[in-house]
Amino acid sequence: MILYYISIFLIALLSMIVSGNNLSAAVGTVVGSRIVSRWFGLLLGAGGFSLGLIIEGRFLSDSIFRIMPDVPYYIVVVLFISFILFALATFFRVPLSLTMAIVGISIGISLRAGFSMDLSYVYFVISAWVLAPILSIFFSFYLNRKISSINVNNAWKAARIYKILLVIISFLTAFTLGANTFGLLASLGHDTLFTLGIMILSIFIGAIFLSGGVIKRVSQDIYGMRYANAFISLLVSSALVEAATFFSLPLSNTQTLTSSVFGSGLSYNTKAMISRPFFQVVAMWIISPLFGMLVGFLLV
Amino acid sequence: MVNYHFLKKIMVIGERQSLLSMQSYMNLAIENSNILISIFQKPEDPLDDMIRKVSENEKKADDITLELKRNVTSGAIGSTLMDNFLNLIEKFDDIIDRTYWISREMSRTKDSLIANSFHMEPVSNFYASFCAILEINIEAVKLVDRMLQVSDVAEAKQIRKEIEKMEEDVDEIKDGIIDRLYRISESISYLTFNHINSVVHTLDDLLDDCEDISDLILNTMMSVSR
Repeated sequence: MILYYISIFLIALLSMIVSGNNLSAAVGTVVGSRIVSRWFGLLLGAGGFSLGLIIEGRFLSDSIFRIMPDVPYYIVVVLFISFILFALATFFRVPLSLTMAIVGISIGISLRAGFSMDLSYVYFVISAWVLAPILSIFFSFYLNRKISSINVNNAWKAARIYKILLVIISFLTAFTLGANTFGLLASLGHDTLFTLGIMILSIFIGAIFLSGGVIKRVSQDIYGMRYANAFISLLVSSALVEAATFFSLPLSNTQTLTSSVFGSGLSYNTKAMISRPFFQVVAMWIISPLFGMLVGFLLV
Repeated sequence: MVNYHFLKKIMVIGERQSLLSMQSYMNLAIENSNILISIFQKPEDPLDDMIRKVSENEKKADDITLELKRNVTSGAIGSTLMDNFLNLIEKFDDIIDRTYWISREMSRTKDSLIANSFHMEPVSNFYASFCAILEINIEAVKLVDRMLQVSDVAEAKQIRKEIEKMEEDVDEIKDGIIDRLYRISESISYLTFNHINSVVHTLDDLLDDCEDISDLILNTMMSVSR
């Protein structure tokens, strides 16, 4: 029972950090472009996370236990290592993916514990991780090229439509992240009403108290894009995460969003983008699960 | 319940509202240009009232600039377009500032010319060309005013082209004035040479500003619509 409460405590802590860190990914554009106020953005994002978790979080409910044994001690270990890694990554400003770290640690624990994991599922997850960024870049590139070739007559009417669409897609991005990333976390707490309640509370606390600096930086730097580009990046990212959720695949939202933003950058006729940060993030996608797996293997 | 303020914020395009509010500069720019035409047409007439009016307009423009900058930086415009809008405001303010500078220059020159008993003949030819530039400037400002109101990107592009053509015309007039100025430079004082040279460059800058403004407006329209 103590282990259960420890796990719930760790889930709450991680929910706060993930909510604070990822809010900008969902609502950075609408806040940065002043379509909505920061407070409305917080509500939109945290509301989206919570609804996604409540409505679709259950799709991820058995995902992690196809990789590692459903043992309270192991669950606490996964959560504890994830929390330490995430805290260190935040401290050293390294873009770590929680989803990838959790899956990596789980694999490491299973290897050490000799648990017979569902290998076909593991391969499926890894394939999704490889395919998702490629698809994100492709669709984002293609759709941006397509949309820039459309002849716009009434500029202000187009702007109005994009603003409405951006608010909707920001909510949907938060929703899909809530369903997938928070759904994965909730599965470690066995999706009980108590777990969901604590998580929703933590999501709102994280969004309010931990998102300030990040939302300002991301909305002004990364989302220095036009309305259409920002809309397509979010659309592609949320569509892929939603598809992954339906297949019970844990997929990092930052993985799809970073790739689709990169795809948007590639679609410009005049390339004025710095590719290095993108490749640093890609390196972290490889390092995160492998490092998590190693730590999981060594610490159990 | 639908939140009215939220809907209003979504439906009202901050960028467009900010552009429309820049129309307040237009009347000031046109009025100052007309006053300058009157000054150049009859430089020997008393100028005090006209210069005072130009000065008042310049102060009004400064107040508008302050207000618009406050609006732009405090929530009307997103971070990506903020620089565009601040540049736009600066350009509009520059137009009024330049007309003010010319009026001050005319006031000082007139005093000097009278003190030196200088006859106006060589100068008045240049002043006629200055009037031609100012008339083109008024037309360009009216086109900028129209551009601020249009929604159609194609129409905005067309207006931008017209302004570009006007700027080229003014460039040619300016070159003609400078050529003439150098031709007669032996027969005029350094003061007159400097006066004509400075004013013609400032008048040319008025059209450059109009062209820059048209570019910035078009960029803004393109940026929000694709």
